[in-house]
Amino acid sequence: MRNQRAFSATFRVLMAAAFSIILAATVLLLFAEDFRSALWQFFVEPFSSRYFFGNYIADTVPLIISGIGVSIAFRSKNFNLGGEGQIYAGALAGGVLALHAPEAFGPGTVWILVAFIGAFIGAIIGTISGLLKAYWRISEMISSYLISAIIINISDFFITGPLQDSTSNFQTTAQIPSVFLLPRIFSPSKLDISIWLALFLVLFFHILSKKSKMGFELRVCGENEEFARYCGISVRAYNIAAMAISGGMYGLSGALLVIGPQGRVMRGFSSGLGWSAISVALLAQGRETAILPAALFIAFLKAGSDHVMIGSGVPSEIISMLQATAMLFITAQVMPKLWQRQRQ
Amino acid sequence: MLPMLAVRMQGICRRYYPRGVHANDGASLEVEKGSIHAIVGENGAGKTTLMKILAGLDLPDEGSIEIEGRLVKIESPSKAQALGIGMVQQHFLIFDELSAAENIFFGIEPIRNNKISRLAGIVDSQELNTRAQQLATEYGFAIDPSAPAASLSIGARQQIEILRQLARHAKILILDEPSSVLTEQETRVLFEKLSDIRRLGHTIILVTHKIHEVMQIADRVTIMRQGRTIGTYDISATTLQKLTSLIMGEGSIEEKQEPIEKSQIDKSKIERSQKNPLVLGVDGMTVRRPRYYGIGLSDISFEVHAGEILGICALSGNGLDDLENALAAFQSPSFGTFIFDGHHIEPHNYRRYQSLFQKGLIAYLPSDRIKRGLASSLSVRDNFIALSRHDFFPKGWILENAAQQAILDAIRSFEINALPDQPAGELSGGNIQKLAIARLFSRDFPKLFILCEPTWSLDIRSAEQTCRRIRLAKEEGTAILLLSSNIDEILELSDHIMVLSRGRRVLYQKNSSLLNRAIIGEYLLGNRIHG
Amino acid sequence: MNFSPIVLIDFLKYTIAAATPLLFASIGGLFSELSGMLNIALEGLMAIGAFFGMAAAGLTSNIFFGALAAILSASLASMLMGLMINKFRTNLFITGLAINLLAQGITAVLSQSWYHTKAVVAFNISVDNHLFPRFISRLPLIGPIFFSHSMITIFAWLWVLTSAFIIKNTKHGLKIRATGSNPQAVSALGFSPDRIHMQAFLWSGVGSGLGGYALGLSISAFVPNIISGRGWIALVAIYLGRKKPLWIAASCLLFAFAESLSNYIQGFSSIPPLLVLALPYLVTLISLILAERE
Repeated sequence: MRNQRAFSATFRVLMAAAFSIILAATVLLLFAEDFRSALWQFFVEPFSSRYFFGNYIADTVPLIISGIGVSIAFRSKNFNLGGEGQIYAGALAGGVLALHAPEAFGPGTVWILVAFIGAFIGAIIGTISGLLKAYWRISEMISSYLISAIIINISDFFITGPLQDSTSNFQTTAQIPSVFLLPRIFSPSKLDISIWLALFLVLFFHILSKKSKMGFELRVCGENEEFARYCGISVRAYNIAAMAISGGMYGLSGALLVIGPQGRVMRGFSSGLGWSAISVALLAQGRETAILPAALFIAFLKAGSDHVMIGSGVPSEIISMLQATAMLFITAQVMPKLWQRQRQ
Repeated sequence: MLPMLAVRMQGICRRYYPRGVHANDGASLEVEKGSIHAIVGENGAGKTTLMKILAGLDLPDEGSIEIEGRLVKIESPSKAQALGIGMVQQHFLIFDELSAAENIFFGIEPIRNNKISRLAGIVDSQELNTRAQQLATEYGFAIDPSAPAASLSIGARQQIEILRQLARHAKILILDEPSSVLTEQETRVLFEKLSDIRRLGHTIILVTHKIHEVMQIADRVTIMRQGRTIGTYDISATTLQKLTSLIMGEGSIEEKQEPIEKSQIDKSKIERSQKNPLVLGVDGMTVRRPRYYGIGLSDISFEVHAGEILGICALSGNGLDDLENALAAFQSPSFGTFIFDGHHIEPHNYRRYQSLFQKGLIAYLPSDRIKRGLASSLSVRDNFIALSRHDFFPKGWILENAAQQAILDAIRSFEINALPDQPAGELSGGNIQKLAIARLFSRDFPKLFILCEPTWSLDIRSAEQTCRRIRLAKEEGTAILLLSSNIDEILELSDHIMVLSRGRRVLYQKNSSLLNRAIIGEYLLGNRIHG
Repeated sequence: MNFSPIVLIDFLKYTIAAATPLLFASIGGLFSELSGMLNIALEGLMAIGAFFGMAAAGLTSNIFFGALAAILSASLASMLMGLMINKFRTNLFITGLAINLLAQGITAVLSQSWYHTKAVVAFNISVDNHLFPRFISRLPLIGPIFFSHSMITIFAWLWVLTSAFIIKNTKHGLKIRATGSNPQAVSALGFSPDRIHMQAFLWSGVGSGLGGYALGLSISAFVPNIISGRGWIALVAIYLGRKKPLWIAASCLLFAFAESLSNYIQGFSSIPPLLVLALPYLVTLISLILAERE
């Protein structure tokens, strides 16, 4: 029984992945000038050199970290749609800190401070939506989206105004001093030590949700709020906590990007990462350990899309079509007729 | 000449996938035209499934159905409707956002008489209300057609459902457990109406597990057990005892009287009197509610002492749910003082009262066992340990073995038909109730039990077991508040009885032989007041 | 800042024009909301309507064909959403998110393929603003504010009124409301809630398609991120209007007011424009809080 259910879940994930890949190939067939080279660019190029492969793995880090936050929020039936703004704000806060930190602090301290401030800012923003939901029953989806839209505008203002790097032609902050950048571990690529933190977080949240009282209570809250109250669990606290954790993870990934691969905060920094993290969490189907393959897959789609944009001129926005397909397939019940009957 | 058959079902089988459980296993049924036909049986005997199949709400895997002698296939509710079959389900299907008349005529509304209106389906709301009024008068129901359905009482909602089927010209009316939400008096009114409806030429099928109702109203009765029909009997030619033993299976009543654990009670402990310490005192409790959402409670006071059961009874919509919510720490009352074990609690420090539940001093069995008592996609085990997180997560981390052992023990001693890893939502209503009871009674007894409808949806034997457990808790010195709409249960178990009517206390006294169903019924209706 | 009467009149006129896309989308969303489905894909549906509507209008130089294409494309996407939810039992919100993403991808890919740019695609489409006789549109004050709007704005208000009537007085409206209230009861009475949901989604598609198209017409171009959150704002208008069509229309006017205010402040004051751009979202967020709390 149990195995059967686990099997059908896995099967569905694989189907979703397969279909988005088929769609990718179809889009390339229709829109790429040279189908064969586009295929190569999409499916092979990300693995073709140490540089590309390392960058591909580096792309999974923010997906893992934010994906796990989204996954935790899903578990309690909270949908945080403010990821874009939370990443942006976390990055900006972390970036400002790294730009102004005295060199005497030493890199280790600065890394910790930047990570902390990024997570903190993201958590605060998430908490606002959590509070609005807990106290006034305002849909966290809409509020988090709107707050995120406001924050993106404010952050844009800072980046193009007070924090603008006057020496650059781009809308960006200044470059963060190289001493404060995270050490790269797979040269010449941009992969840095934040991958270890990502892996640690996966393990940490896995144990927390499987074995701990908090994880159990969070599950109960997501399942049935009234039952949770009956059990004496503070639904409010968990709603707020879930939004805070997912916001915090978004903020953290933003901050790590700034002191990692990006090295500065450019306008449009988050560029769809917030939505990709949702796809990752969905593909993982609420299992923390499954975040890893899910992030690898979504990052692969992203790497592929980027490569065909450069190589074949197909817009990298195809990534959102592929993600949408994966999302639809992941929540679809494969055999609706049979299931419907038994539900009655 | 044989009487005309309205319904004839033969060899009906219905399995539920993926577990292959038989809800119906070769069931058959014959209902005479113009009769009131009862279908009785324990929980899970397949009564409701059989009726859903007849009403087109479920499809049989095998079997044939004849309506008035014609072989038919009923694959949808609309097909059933065309055949003149209508079912009033146990959970009412009312649209709160629409008016009473719109509810009754839903889908068959009168259309304004002009071309555009017919094309666009523009409803003639005046005609709609007139027709609803006519229909209600014809069958002797008192309903305001324009009233928003959200404002109606349970009884009125049921009447709307019946009228809805009559408006669709149902000649065969199926009612699933119609009295389960009604009280004695409301039930009597309903039965009178049903007799009237039969007199107008309709056939009525009544699904119930209350045998005395069957004896009271039905012409014939079909007994079901384990998905099969055991037999059909004329009421005039059978007795209550005979029906009971048929429902339970031969000889089962004596055989199943086995003692439950902890039955060796120190007899000296039972000799407690009213000098027992006060556990919960409530003084002047008032709950105010916005209009349309019930009448709330006004100025309710009572006491319950250790080793004592206070039974509290009310008709639906008379404040029992407000009382449950206030006592169970779900909704702070507007005014009033609680004294629990010497501590004073006022509305402003109601949180302190809530904390008593977490400390295990008060344990509560909710009346809505699914909405409030179940996390349906979590496992049976997780549902079981959810209330005792202090025991199973002592340092914040789970004790897997202890939890597994505990649920296995509970499944055995409470006879729950379930597996520990199964999602709890797959269980039947009776087993969900057993799980909820097991969750409370496999812990140490608290100082105060708040038990709401403890035997709801349990079969006779499990209900008896539960009553025995409640008495055991009482003998161990637990104070018990028993909130129930089942008068028999209240009379049987309680030391003191309180009755609420229109949110007020109309009876509060010691249980004695002077009280019986009829007297309590008078108080429930508010005909008598003896605050 | 210096508000002359002409600026004021212009400002009010702009407010009414800016409400047009919101009116279409939020009333469309109201249908699915009433049927019990919170449609968070309004944003994406609007984008689809805007792109295909403008493309067809550009191709045929006819705004009616554009409208037709906008309706068809957005309805198609909306039906796809309904199909996924009803037939394959996908999660409502995730499906909504997926449609939003899908819209973003499709419009970008097709824009690149058809117009060889992912940025601004300009069209030369003129919309007749002289629907009313001259003596009415020349009336002092009210003439320019109320009677010099394009056909599509007038149509938006007709759309509001017709929808209000359908919801309140027809069998169809009754079924949609009933489904939102108790879908099991609808199915027990012999109707298919799935079908009614599909019809409600169809309305959503029509409304948001036209909404997106109206937006495209107003700037006579398609740009990526043209909707920039208006789908979400339309969603909030449904709540702020307490699911009553006329109140929803009033809420749309309020949000349109905030939008034109932010445009005017950008032109007239020293507050940085990027900060001012946050104003409509802020107003929306505050009204969401005011409407939904308690």
